[in-house]
Amino acid sequence: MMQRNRALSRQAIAVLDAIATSGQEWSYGLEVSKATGLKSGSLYPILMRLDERGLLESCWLEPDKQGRPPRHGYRITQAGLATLHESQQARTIDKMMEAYS
Amino acid sequence: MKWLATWIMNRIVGDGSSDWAMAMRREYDELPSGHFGWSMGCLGATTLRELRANWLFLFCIVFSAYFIVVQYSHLIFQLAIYDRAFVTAHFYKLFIFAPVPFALALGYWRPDRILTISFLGGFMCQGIGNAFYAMYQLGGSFYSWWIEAMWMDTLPVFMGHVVEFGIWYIAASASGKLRGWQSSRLAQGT
Repeated sequence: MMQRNRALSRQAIAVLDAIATSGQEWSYGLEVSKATGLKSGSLYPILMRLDERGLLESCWLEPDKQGRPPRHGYRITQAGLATLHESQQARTIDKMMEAYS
Repeated sequence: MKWLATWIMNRIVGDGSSDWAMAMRREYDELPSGHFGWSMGCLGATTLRELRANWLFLFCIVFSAYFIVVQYSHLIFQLAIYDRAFVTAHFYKLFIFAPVPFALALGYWRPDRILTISFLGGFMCQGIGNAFYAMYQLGGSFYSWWIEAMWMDTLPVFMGHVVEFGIWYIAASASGKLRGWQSSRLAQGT
């Protein structure tokens, strides 16, 4: 089935941005929630969509503390970085247009 | 409220076998506060995901329930025009077993969703049936004779729910088991 490639929402860009700031480090859902201010009900559908579109990768990570179950970590992909870069450029142009008009 | 949040996370959200349900459940353990809000958000997210993933299946349940109550009722109504005595005498058999082929098909297709089939199927049938009843109460002429034939005046509504739920459940689980048995036979190569 052909995947739809709709433009990302402002919230999705914020999530990508928050994950991108960690670079190659894995981020946890709770950290992304704190960084973006998004609650679980908005955050997880966005994470699922970004993962399905290949803009971020996810995996189960061993926890820092012993005896705790693994946590789900997220990391931005090359495609995600390119999309984020495009979105940020588009937003900058929009802001400039707004300022001039 | 934390007990309720934990119950929702364990029994509803975390019950899903997907990675995402487990990921949400795991982050819940790390929360310092705001457990209830987090659990409600996760509940919404998983429900939405379920709806997206299973929309065709859910549509089929709703459609078959609609078919049973509205179209099948219409067929029996037409039959009753020709032979009212037959329909009145066999009404119970004609109507009560109508969901069976649909529940069998749905149970065979999705044996992992038998409770959903039973609940939604029974609920939808009764819901539409109640709409007929309401129309009768409001004085709809077309349905008034029909409702009299259904003797819904005397049958408690909740009994209807129980019976419909039971029929959907038995038929769906029987065909689900049949499919499981066929799969195991195929796996054994017999």
